[in-house]
Amino acid sequence: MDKKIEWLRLFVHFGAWVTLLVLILINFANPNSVNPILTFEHHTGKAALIFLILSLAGTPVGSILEWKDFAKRKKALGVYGFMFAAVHLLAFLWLDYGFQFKFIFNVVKNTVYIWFGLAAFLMVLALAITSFKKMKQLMKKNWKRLHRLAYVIAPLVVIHFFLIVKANFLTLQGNVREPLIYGSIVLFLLLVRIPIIKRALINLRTLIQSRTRRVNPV
Amino acid sequence: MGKNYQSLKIDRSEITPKSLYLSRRDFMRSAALTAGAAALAACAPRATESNAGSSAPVDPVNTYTDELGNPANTFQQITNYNNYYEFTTNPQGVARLAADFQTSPWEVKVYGLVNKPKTYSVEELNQLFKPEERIYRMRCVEGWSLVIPWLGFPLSRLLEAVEPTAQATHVRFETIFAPDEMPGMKSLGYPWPYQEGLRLDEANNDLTILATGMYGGELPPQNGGGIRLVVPWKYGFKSAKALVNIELVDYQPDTLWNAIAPNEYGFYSNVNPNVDHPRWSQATERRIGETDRRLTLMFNGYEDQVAHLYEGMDLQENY
Repeated sequence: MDKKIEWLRLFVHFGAWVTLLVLILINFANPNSVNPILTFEHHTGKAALIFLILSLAGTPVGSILEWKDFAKRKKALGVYGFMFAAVHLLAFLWLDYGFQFKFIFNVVKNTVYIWFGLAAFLMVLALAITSFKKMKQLMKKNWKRLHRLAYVIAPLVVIHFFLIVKANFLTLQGNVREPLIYGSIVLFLLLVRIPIIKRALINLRTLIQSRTRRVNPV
Repeated sequence: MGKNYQSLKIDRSEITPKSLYLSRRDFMRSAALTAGAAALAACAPRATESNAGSSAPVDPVNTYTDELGNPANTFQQITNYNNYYEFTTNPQGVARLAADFQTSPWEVKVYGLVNKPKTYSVEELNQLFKPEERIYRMRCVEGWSLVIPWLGFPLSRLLEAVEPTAQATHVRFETIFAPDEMPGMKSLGYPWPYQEGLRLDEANNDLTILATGMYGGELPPQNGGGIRLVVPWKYGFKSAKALVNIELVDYQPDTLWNAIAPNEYGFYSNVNPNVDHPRWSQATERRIGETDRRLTLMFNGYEDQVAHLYEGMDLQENY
């Protein structure tokens, strides 16, 4: 009875399932949704990326900002990232192409962004099926090695996003704003893992904390 | 960006003094009502209050079919899924952002290598060239398509009136520059205003129209009102919206998408299932409102009318 309710944990689970429900409803139960299959594909892809980014934020938020509860949620966030990626892929195979593998083979062959998306999906699939405690114990050191793939997956998803929009990524002309925002966040989350940067940010945090503590007059 | 990409940035206020907006708008309405009366017998009634604020207009009943027997998309579909980056890159957000965009009165200047340059108002064009119903497929380069019943007249008739000189080889089209009314125009990374171009023989093909209406009524702002180009055998972005300048030139004009990504969006941009976009397949498309994909047709199904324009050309090279 006196067990503390883990609000954050509830929030993560609730947030993921509500997001999925909302995305289904706004696309398929909404008369104003004119091109629902394509829009649903875009929405689930973006949801997958957001959950993967949140998962990637777990470690630095725990070590630099010392929000340990959030760091504990990184596994669940990553698994939900996988869930949205799976729904995204299923929408592509089933809703978009009706499992017509003749077309699917052709479109995969000729569509560069799908290569990146598919590579990211296979990796996140590997992480998801090894995310159980048992697997972690079984795999020992290899588990950690395998799960470093998270640093590769997020950039692949960002490239996948960049390659879909009508834009020129070299000159940054066209519809680059959104992939650029997500790309910057991923880059930042990777950079803060570099020991020097991480230490500098921890020092900055302790400095700010000591300053704010001295606010009380003597 | 190419050397002939012009950014004239003509503001609407320079074309029409603001005091004229309302009176001419009313004139246009009454003119459209009388002119539309005859057409009403043939097609279903449509809500005349095109920008009635939040309340959605009553959709006209769809009785249109293209020459291949495909039913036209509904008015609701056509007016709620628009690629119109001048407003927003979200195709579902254009209708709301464009709702207050003034499309009448509207003027378009036809000039350059012509004997009789002239600035026309849309109502003048409607009187001179008597818009007819053209039910065209529109294939977006992103892989979706619509069937749209336009009201328009062949561009060739306007060109005939202004008399291109012997030097003229191409037509350059330019969209209005109105960043205060079109929020997307404030975003960086685009050489606004939107610019497009056609070879003169493409422009003179009977399929090429200037549309001033849709679904038997006015041309909604999100669909390119006051006046737009429609070139049905090319990817949708070639059909520039909200035109204010049509210039006859003796060079191949730069186009907005070609200026941004020249290896991806060629000058021709003919619909072609055999020539993929460098980053995605163009073999199939989704017709809005359908569950199954369709095979994309060569020249969007207009091969008989336009294939001769490209005889002897390598379409892989001239994408």
